Amino acid sequence: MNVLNIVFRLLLALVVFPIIGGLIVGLDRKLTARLQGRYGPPILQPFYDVLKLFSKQRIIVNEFQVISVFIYLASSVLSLVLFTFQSDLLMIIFVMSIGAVFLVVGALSVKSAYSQVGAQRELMQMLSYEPLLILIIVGMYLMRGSFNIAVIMSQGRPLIEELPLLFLVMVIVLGIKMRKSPFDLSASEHAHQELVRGLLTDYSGLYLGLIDIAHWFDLMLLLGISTLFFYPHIVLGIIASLFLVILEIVIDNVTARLTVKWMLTYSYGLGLVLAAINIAVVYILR
Amino acid sequence: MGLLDKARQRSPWLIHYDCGSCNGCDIELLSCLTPLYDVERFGIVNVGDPKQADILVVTGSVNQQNKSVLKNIYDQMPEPKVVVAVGVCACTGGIFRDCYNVVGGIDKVLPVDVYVPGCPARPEQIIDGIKLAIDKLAQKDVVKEEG
Amino acid sequence: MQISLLLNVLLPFISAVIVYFLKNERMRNIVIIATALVVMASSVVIAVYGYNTFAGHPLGNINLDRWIAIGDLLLSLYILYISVSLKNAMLILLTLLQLIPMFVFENFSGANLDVLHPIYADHLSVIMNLIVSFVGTLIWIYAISYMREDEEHKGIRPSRQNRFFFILLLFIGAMNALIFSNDLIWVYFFWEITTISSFLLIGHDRTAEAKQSSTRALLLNSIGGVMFVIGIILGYHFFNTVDIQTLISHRASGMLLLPFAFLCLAAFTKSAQIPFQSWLLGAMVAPTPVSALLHSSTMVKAGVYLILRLVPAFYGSWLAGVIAIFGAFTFITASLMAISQSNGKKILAYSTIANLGLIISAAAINSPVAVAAAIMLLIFHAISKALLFLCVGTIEHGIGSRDIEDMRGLINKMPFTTLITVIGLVTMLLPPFGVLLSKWLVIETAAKNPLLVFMIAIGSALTVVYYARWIGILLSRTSSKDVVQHEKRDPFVRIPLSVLAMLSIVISVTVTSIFNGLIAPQVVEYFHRLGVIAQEGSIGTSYGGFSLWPVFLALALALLGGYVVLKGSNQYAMPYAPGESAQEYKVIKVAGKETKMPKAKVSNYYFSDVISENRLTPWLDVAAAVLIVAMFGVVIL
Ligand code: SF4
Repeated sequence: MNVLNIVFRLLLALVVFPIIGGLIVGLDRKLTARLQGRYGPPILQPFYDVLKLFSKQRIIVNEFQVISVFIYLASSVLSLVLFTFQSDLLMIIFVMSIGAVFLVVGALSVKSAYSQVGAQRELMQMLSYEPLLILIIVGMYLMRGSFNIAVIMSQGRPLIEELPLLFLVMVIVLGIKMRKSPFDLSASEHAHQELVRGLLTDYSGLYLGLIDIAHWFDLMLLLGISTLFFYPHIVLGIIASLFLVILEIVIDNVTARLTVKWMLTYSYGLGLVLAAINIAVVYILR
Repeated sequence: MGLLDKARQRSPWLIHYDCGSCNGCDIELLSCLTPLYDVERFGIVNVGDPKQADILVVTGSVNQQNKSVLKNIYDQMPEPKVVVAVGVCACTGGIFRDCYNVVGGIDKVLPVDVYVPGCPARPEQIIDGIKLAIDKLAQKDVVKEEG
Repeated sequence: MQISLLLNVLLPFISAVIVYFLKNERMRNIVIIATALVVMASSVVIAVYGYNTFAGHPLGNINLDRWIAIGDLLLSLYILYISVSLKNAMLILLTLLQLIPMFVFENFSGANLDVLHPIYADHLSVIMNLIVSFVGTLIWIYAISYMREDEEHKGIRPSRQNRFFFILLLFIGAMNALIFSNDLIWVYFFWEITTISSFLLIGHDRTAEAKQSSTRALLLNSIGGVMFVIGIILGYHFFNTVDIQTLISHRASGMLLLPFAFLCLAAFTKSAQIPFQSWLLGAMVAPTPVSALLHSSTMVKAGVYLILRLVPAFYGSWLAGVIAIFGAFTFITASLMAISQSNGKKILAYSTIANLGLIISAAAINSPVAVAAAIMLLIFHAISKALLFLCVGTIEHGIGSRDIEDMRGLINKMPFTTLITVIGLVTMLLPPFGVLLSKWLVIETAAKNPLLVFMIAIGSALTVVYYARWIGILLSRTSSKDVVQHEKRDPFVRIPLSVLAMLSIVISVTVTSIFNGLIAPQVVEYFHRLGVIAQEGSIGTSYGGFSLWPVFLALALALLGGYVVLKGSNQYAMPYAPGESAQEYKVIKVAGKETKMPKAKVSNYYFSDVISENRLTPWLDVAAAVLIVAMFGVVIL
């Protein structure tokens, strides 16, 4: 790997992907508005929001909040960087979980009922998606014999052919991770308020902006994983990932929020069963 | 106009507090969010959390009981911030002005930047008022308070 | 070399006796600390120069077998005496079931029980020895101040610390002896000593609950003892030896695996695997040093140690397959149970059971990589868990509760202890620290077996829940209002906590050297291959790799970023609360009457209606029992 290659990958992970992530969030707001018969904000809206947040006065409740935000951001950035460097997928998920844990820790460190309840729910969201994500990756491993993205990508036919159900599981994972209805329990996007702002209630200004940015990184990582399903047909993969996002937005607009127990039942009942069937089939056929 | 100012103008998040309104103004304010008026096209979002808001929109007159609450919400908002008083009640106390417990318009408690009169104020008026507030917002700088 | 082994094993026994008779507290502390230092130093010497068989009997020509046999008999008679005085028929029966067969076997069966090298050290024993010697002795030091406070607190006069420290020191000696024994009968003897130490220490407080819990512990461990005896006798029957190294050198299959199945079952009881978990949960009534020493970091590790010892014997067999599932089952169910708990010590106990299950599962995955991961988990878990127990003990003395709901905002009351606790929790929970690194390796290796990876994936997600919320609760603070108190801690508490916290981080940073130096050689010795390359801060297999430095770097950058921003101007505000409650009205006027505001209460999700300990446990026990039956089934059929 020469220097140019490294710079290119870093650029991709640190600049290009997050910008695309932001644009996808913008698209999300525009599309949601359209679905509701409104005109909607400009596509660049997330960037305006973040810039504005950066310029606001910094208000915090305690120091651990700030530390948590930075750890969240660092882990999200690192996981995307590791993704572009084609490292171990399971390691990437573990790195991403550092941030998720600290987001919860930061919210729990504030003695506000909204943050606290939001954080507790976020934990339940993590409990719902983490095993699913691990199983998706295990499915890829069973197909390719490696957790390494480089190896996963080195072989011929696209994974989707044999892992279609796991791709459907991705819908659940993405929904929970994007905090879209029916899984927007812990915090919600602007229009669908829940618990004031849920676990983000006591974040403002710079810190909220950083969380938004970290969120773009997370989103891109998940879309990257869903694109992997289609490799070597990258264009198809990108289209499928975009379709996935649009599907999430539609689901978001046509469903109502679930309770925690519903979410767990749903993600475990449906997600785990789908994953289990798919993995079992792959396992038996191999 | 710098990028930051532009961003600030394009992303005003507002929080609405109902001080003691008859609900007439509240309904007019909320109708601004509906497809007909859709204020989100200006990047305006109605947030529930004062810590994340830039514009405080108040409807209704202040009374002794909620004076402190209003102040409290205002204090939680980070600088720069502006206040919009919607409806005559919020501007001056309106028809409730002489009630035994009413303090008056919200400018008795907070520095108000924009007054939107009317009983109730029409959505177009409200949007216009908020637009004025946004311009004021862009002019304000972060007041650095050592904490 | 032999001297350091002697010091390491025998000195605790000798000091134990001295401590028992020393009435002067000062002198006693000096003896304890001196012994601790010697034990630590000697374990390092063994680790550096060790790795070979200690030829012959290190005590000259005295035949130790005789002494061990006599000791064993006396110990069994003592347990019998206890059982009779407890008037527990079941216990008497179990004790007799151990005593009589063992006695007959040793004296009348004409068996040749000589073992060429009864004392044996390899990397695994060195690893266990380091853990026991360091963690164990640090806990002694901690116990010095803890027990003083504890007795003051509970008003125990006259002091019973002599007895307490006698057992605590004795126990470490027995553990070290167990680790270096290569003769199953020796192992059994020391195994029984740890059982009886555990019984005596759990019952130390002499309350009704303590008595009940200690009896239960003895009962369940006696089941393990019986299994052990059966395992020894069957092993001799099949292989004509009690030499562990010879036993495991047979690649047994079919019926010949039966003795190993029994020994594994004995190990399950010691490691409190479901369905034997209840004794470990009950054991939490004991003073905290006991929980930390016996019931998290050392004694329960004896069980997994035995399994790791026996791995080559059943490697690749169906027995291994069932054991792996059994371990994973314990992992997921114990993690689930931990979610429903708010008692800090119980959470730790369940998490211990879960991690031991994971170690057992990994050991039986039939891959050298997984065995390496199991050993790795053994090391990291021991240190972090011991640290956490000591923290909970300190917190309990500080705030008088071990309930995590009561620990909200502890960072303001006990900043030092809380910070250490958070370090302990983070090293247990997050990559790039060792426990998670081992878990990562286990999952990657278990991925070939979908059933296994299913259970482990869900189990590890459950783990995140109960640890993450604990960290958050501890750190809750409103900086503009809360006054951070200065925390005064006895150096006897401060030092062990700081050293363990430092150790838990340092070994995670130096994981590759530890891996290459201690773990890899052991696995190579077992299987003549490894499949893991650890170098330059990364651990790689043929199917994946984890690089540590980027993660550490990112964490460091995050901390730096946080620090820089915190240095800048920030306004400290109150947490958001809508309207009035922000001002914390205690009393409000409603219709002219003063009314007290109901206190808002926020607490964790415990799902106690779904995950009810009392309701679920019987079912889990049945399921685990089925797995154990399956274990014997695959051996016999
Ligand atoms: S201004 Fe008129 S409509 Fe608005 S709150 Fe007052 S009385 Fe109601």
